[in-house]
Order: sequence, then C-alpha cells, then structure tokens
Amino acid sequence: MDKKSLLFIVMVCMGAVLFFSYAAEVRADDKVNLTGFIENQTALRMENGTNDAYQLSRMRNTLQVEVAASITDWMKFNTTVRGYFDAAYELDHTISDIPKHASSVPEGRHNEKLYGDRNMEQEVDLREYYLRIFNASSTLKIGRQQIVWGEADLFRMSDIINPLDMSAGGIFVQDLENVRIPLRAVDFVYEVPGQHHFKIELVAIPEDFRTTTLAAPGANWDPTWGTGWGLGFPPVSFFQAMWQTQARQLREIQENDLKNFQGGMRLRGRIGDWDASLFYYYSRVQDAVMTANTSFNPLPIILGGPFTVGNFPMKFHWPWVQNIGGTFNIPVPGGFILRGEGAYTIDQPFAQDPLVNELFKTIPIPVSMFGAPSARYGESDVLAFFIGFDRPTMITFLNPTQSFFISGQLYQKYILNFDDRFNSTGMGENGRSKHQTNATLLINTEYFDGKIAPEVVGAYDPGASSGLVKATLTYKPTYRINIALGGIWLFAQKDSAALTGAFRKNDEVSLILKYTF
Amino acid sequence: MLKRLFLSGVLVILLALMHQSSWAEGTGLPKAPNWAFGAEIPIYKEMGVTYKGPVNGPNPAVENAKILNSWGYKARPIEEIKDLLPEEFYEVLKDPKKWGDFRINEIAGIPIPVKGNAYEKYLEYTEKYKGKCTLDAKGHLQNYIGGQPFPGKDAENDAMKLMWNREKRYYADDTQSPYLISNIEASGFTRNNLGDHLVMTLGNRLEVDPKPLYLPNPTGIDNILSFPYIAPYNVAGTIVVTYRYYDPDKDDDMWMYIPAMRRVRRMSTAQRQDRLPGGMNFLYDTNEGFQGKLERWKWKLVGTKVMLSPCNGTTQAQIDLKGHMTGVDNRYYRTKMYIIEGTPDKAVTVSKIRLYLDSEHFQIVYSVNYDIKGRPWFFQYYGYGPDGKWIFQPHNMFSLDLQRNYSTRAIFVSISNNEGFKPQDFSMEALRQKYQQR
Repeated sequence: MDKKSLLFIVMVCMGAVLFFSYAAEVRADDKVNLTGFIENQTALRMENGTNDAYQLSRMRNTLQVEVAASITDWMKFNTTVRGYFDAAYELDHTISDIPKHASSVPEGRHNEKLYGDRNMEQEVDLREYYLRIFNASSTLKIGRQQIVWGEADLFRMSDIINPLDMSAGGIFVQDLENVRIPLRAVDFVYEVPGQHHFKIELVAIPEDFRTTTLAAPGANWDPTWGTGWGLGFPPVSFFQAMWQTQARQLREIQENDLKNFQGGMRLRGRIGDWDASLFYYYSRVQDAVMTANTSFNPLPIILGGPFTVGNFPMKFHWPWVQNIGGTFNIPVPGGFILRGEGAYTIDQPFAQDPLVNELFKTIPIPVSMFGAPSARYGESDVLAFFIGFDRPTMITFLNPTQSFFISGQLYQKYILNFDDRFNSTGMGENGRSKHQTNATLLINTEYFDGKIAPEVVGAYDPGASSGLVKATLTYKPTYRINIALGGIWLFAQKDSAALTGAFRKNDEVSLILKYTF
Repeated sequence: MLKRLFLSGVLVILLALMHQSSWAEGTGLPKAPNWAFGAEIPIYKEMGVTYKGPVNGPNPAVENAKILNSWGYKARPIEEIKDLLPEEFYEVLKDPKKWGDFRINEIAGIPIPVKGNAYEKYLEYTEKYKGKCTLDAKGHLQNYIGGQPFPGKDAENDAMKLMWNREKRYYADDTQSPYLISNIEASGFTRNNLGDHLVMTLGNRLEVDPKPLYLPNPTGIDNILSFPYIAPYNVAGTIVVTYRYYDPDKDDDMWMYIPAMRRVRRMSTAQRQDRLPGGMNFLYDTNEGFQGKLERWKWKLVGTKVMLSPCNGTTQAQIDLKGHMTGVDNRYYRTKMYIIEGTPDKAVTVSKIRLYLDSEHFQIVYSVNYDIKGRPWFFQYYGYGPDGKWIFQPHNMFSLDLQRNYSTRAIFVSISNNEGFKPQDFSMEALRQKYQQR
C-alpha cells in the first residue's frame, strides 16, 4: 500500500470517529440515532496450514455505522453499513497472496454493480436496511435483515434463515451477529394481547437466496485446504475452478428470482412456566451438494491443462428442504434455565458415492480418482435436537461478588434413512457417519468492577474426536473501549472430521481493539 | 368589552405563570464549584439527552420550603447531626476529600394533602381493608388488595409487617423514568450508562383503572419491571423484563433481548446476591434498599430513632461532578426511622443489610450492605421527593463502596407516573418496537 492510500484510510477513520463522536449527541428525542464501532482484529497463526505458523491470520480493520431513525411513531428505519480492510496481505508478504483479490466463495453478495468485486482484502457492504412498521400488537419488518429463531447457541436447527459468512473464521472467532448474512425479507409478527404472549410470525424471502460463504482458496480458514491441495494435488486451479463453477451455478439459480421463494412460520407462546415455539421453514439448503458432471471431458486435464469453469467434473445443487421443529425453555429447580430445540428436516440432500456401473457408464475412470460423486445426490430425513442449561453460579473462592454464567449444551443429529453411499454427511471422524453428538460449555464472569471479563468456551464431538477450546480475556477500561486478548485451539484427528476437521489448522491468538460510538 | 377581554387574558396568563412551579434557586447558601443541578449537568448532553425532570413538575411545597438549618458544605459542622444520620453516612460526610462536598438542609415535615390525589385512594383502601391482611407461616402476605396492609400499631414491633408496609407503600401505579447511571472510581474516572426504567404494579393500584387490582391476572403477577438500555453501544438495545409473582415460592421470571444474539433469552434469577453487571454497586436483591422476596430473608427490628430523612427531598437531579454523590444539596426532615436488619436465608455475598425506613412514607432512604465477613460494604442513599402531583420517587441515588473509594450513582432524565401501562406494553415485541437498536 502506498503512503497516499494509507494516509487516506487514516484520515477517513479519524474523520469517521470525530463525526460519529459528535453524531452520538444527535440522539436527542430519539429521532435519529447514529452508533457503531471501529475495530482492529489482529490474529497470529499458531500452526502451519494454509499459511505458516506465526504469520498474520488477519489484521482486519472494520468500521461499522448503524443508523436507527424514527420516521413516525409507527415507522422506523434501520441500516448498518460495514467496511473492512485486511492489512495482513500488505504487511506480511510471506502469506499466501492467492486469495487477496479473489472473491470469497460462493458469493455471499452478488450485486456486483453496487458492491464491486468483494474480496478477502477489503469490502464495503450495506449489510442491513429495513423498515419497521408497527402498531400495538404487530410488527412488519421489510428489507435486508437478520431473522433469528431458536434457543441453541451455535447449533443451527431453527436459526437457519440467514446463511453464515465463514470467510474470516466465522462462528469460531466472530460474533454470530456479524457472521450471519442478512437477506431481503419480510418478517411479520403478531402478538395476541394477553399474558400468554402468543405470537404468530410469518417470514417470506421472496427472491434473495444466498449460501454459506467460505474463505477463498488459499486464505486462512479455507476449508478445502484439508482436501489436499496444499500438497499440490489437486492443483490450485481445481479449487479455483470449483468455486467459480459453484458461483456461476449459484448465480443461475439466483437469477430465477421469485422461483427462489423461501418462507416459514413460527408460533410461540407461554403456558405455565413453559415458553415454547413451533416452526416450519421451507428453503433451499445453504451448503451445496455435489454430483458428477457427466459431460466433463478429462482429456485436457490429462494433457496437463487446467480445470476450467466450462469443463469441471462436478455440478452443484441447492435443493429444497422443509424444516419442522420446536423449541422450549423453562426454569427448573436449582436455578437452572433448561433450553431445548429440535428440528426434523425432510429430504436433506447428500452427495453420494457413484455406483460402479454408473461410473463406467457416464464418467471415465480417472475422474473417480478425484473422489467424484455420483451423478445423483441422495436424500434422507434428518433429526437434530439439543438440550441445554444456563445457570449463574456463585463460586465465591474464585469471585466473591460476581457469579459465573455457565451454559452447557448437548446436541444430537441422526440421518434417519442412512445410505452407506452418503459420502459427505459432515458427521463423524470421516465425515461419513450417520450420527453426531456434540457437547459445548461456556463459562464467563466479571472482575474489577466489570473491567476484566474472562470467558472460556469448549466444544467436543466424541464421535469425530474433534473440538475446540477458546479463551478470551477482555479488558473494558470504559464502556466504549474493549481490548480482547484471546486464542482458539481447534483439534481433530482428520481433516474430514466433523465440527472442526476442515478448520483444524487455524489455531490462532488474537488481539481485538474495539471502540464503539 | 375588548379592554375587559384583554385584561382577563392578561390575568389568566399571570395566574398561570404564578401557578407554575420550578426548582428552588438554592438554599441561600453558596453552591460548591463542582455541583451541577438539573439541565446544567453535562453528562446529559454527553449522553445525547435533555434533562426534563418529573413530568408533573416539581413540588412547590418542597421547593419553597423554608430551610431551617444547614450542615455540611459552607454550613454548620456535620458533627452536630451525627446522631441524626446512619453512622456510615456520617463517616462519609466527614470526609469530603474522599467522597465530595455535600450539604444537608433541614425543612419541616410536609404532610401529603389528602384531597385530590392518589394518596386519598391509598388512605381509603387502607381503611377499607384494615385488619384483613395476615401473614402465613412463611411470612407471606395473605388477603391483600390495596392500601397499607398493617396500619397503625399493628406493625409497630414486627419487622416483617413493617417490610410489607414498605412493599405496599404509597407509590405510582406505573412509572417510566429514563436514567443516567455512573460508576465512579477513586481517580474520578467515570463510566456512564443511559437506560430507561419502566415499572407497573398489578396490585395496590391507586389512580389508573382497573384498581385496586389489575384484572384479569391469570398468572398472578405482582409487578413488571423493565430496563431497556439506550447507550453506550455495547449495551444499547438490550432489554430486560422481569416479572415478580405473588407466589412466594416462585422465582422472578426474567427475559432479555440481547442485540448481539438478536434473540430473546430467558435468564435465571437464581443468584439474587449477584452484583449487577458492568461494575454496579447494587445487588439484585438490595437495589432500592431491598428488591428481593421478603419471605427469603429474616427480618429484625433493631430499633426506632428520630433521624433526618431525605423523603421530602427535591425532584431535581443534583450531582457533584468531582465527587461520588447525588442529592448534594437536598432537603431533609426529622422523622421516626425504623431500623431493620435483614439476613438472607443463605448468605453468599452479603451477610446482612441494615435498612432505614421512613415511618411516614415507608420508603427506605438509607441502607447498608454488609459483606460476607460482616464488614460494612455498600452505603446506599435514596433521595425521594414528591412531584407536582405528590407521587414519590427516588430522584437522587448513590451507592458507595465503603471499603474502596468507588461508587455508583443514578439520576433521572425525566419521570412520568400513572400513564396507564398495560401488561402487554411489557411484551418483548412491544418493547423492541420502542427500543430496539438493531
């Protein structure tokens, strides 16, 4: 980066701070409220993987501005604009440059006219913009937004409306709020007056279909690293072509507009001590399922040519699924809040191994060396549920005045009509299991008048022998400044292992400086 | 004719102007350089709000009351009133270098006018239901509908009955009071929070229909309390709603909308002796003197004593910008104070609390929290005052950590009462409409 660019960025940041520090005073009478934050996330890799140990994992500088405006007594407008610049690529020339100007894949945002070509280095995004229209009993929310259902933390059974952006570590190192990809949606909530708080919620996403966003090939947190390309085979061009092919096929679907209608309904209410909900949601899957491309011609590859979008051995599909489920929470003796959630997914798609006769019939043998899937994906119903608890607990010898917030979860997932050919269930040590168990534990507290806030999070999948431990120590000298020192250790025996396998070579320590206004 | 009309108009305007009341300019004594009152308090502007005070206006009887005597800053020595204050408060006032400048101004007691306000209803209910309330074996109040449950000598020597009288004191049916709360360190470094505070009671209702009980009330709610946080960003949009039930065995039910999760989460209320998060000098149970369930504490009447009570205090926010306290130039009157000690069923962070209960208004005006080793820990001060319609609220509050030079203080932006809240106004959906930041 030249000096002029650096000077420009510094001036913009300083100007923004000064402007928004002043603008914070504009809150009078709540007509317009300008808030947001400036953040620097600097993380250092702790092991060799996509890049080497002790290289920068990221040095992401983010400016987020949020505007909440009351237009009338019954109408409000909210918007969130976020821009980031990851200085790691400029500061550390030894790290992989491949993804620097490459789009994260598949495209989380596809309005290139508005946003330009997003990449791993920098981006400006009008993340959220929505109008809220309400009366005493109902709220209508229209615009690009996040819609969050459910009781579980991290496990996504009913919190499935917004896809996730996993390109910068995703849920492992970022707040979920900043990881969900907002969608253009209509969300209507009607609450029946009364003490049972019965609510009917209708969600419609008429045309905005987006998928999970992953890190670009070669970037830190690239999940395909574990498939072997880091060893040189398949070649980098394979993965670049793979993502480009996926992006093109995704765009073809996205251009169908209203044919991508997704939507659902939730009923929620309190009966006695029980707070419960039932939901139904109809959507496309957010993670592509692969099949073999029967028109793939391997000859150019055999002759040493690259994989291309026009000649790639796989196809990508985002079939429709239906999710039916429910949630509950209830206080139970001992000061616990018990939380639970379950979802039954109808027709979850899975890539599957090709049948021998299918292979010979449609695809030349060498393609199978790449682990090519069948020309057809399989489907099965899936049942997932969790039960968890929250409990503030005084442990006076560790903290004499403030409780520890302890939250635990146990998660189970089953493929009900499992077929041995399913080759990417994402469960178990080899990613082919029909069953998954996960346990999580979160503990945090406050010391020194709330200025020091330690937190530890652990997750473990015994079936996959994988998991993570994350520890953060946050110093809050004021209510506006946060300085968080943290680290995450991801472990798994194999790259294919569930939960953390694909990301296991991304252990890092991080320092996050955040100023809010 | 026109002349008469003009003169009549002028007369009406003059009468209206004369009827308007405002906060007193002062007590006639000099103001400390670091004191700031009402709209001149700079933190309001820093947090982006305008100070308004009580919607019903100040109370002229309090604001114009004759100052009989003053002690403290530029007044008579504080030692003269040692016996009229809690010992811990006296020690604080003796050390202005540590805690800041403070003055106590004595006025005569001001009786609440009976006619024409909600207090008339309170007295009517007290009389109507006199002798009907009892306490069960657990100490829970039975057969209560409205008014003071144990009037007259019925409660004189019974700490539990006195505490129930305090619990069901003359108060607003509902209140909305956006507030500024600050944590102040020994160095003077301050952290400020801006929030709103909404409360509605479903029993002992005096002004807003339905009264005295809000019916239907199928789940047996005693009161509903909400704290929507407004600033700074870290907490903005967080909305807390707590339901307190009549059933003494039923824990409070707490719900929280957490913007960072974009989700409403049910929270456990198991740890009532936990400090409020963010470094607040209040415990869940000892906020406003006592905010727990009476049946879960043991109560003892230590004695009665004539003391100075800030229960007829000013409704104007007053702070010492370089000190730790609020209500720094407040008004006090001499009254009998019930001194009551409470010990929790299970001591976790506090071994006991000592409450100073104003015998006329049944408000806790001072309290001392003792740590687990029995040492004085927090000294809390609640400067109540009547607004223009004789509704009492604490307008100046602070809690000092006596073991360190650290404090939490609260003042209000505005206070409105008896606006006619309904339980559905406290549904998370309704509150999110109003306060949701994102």
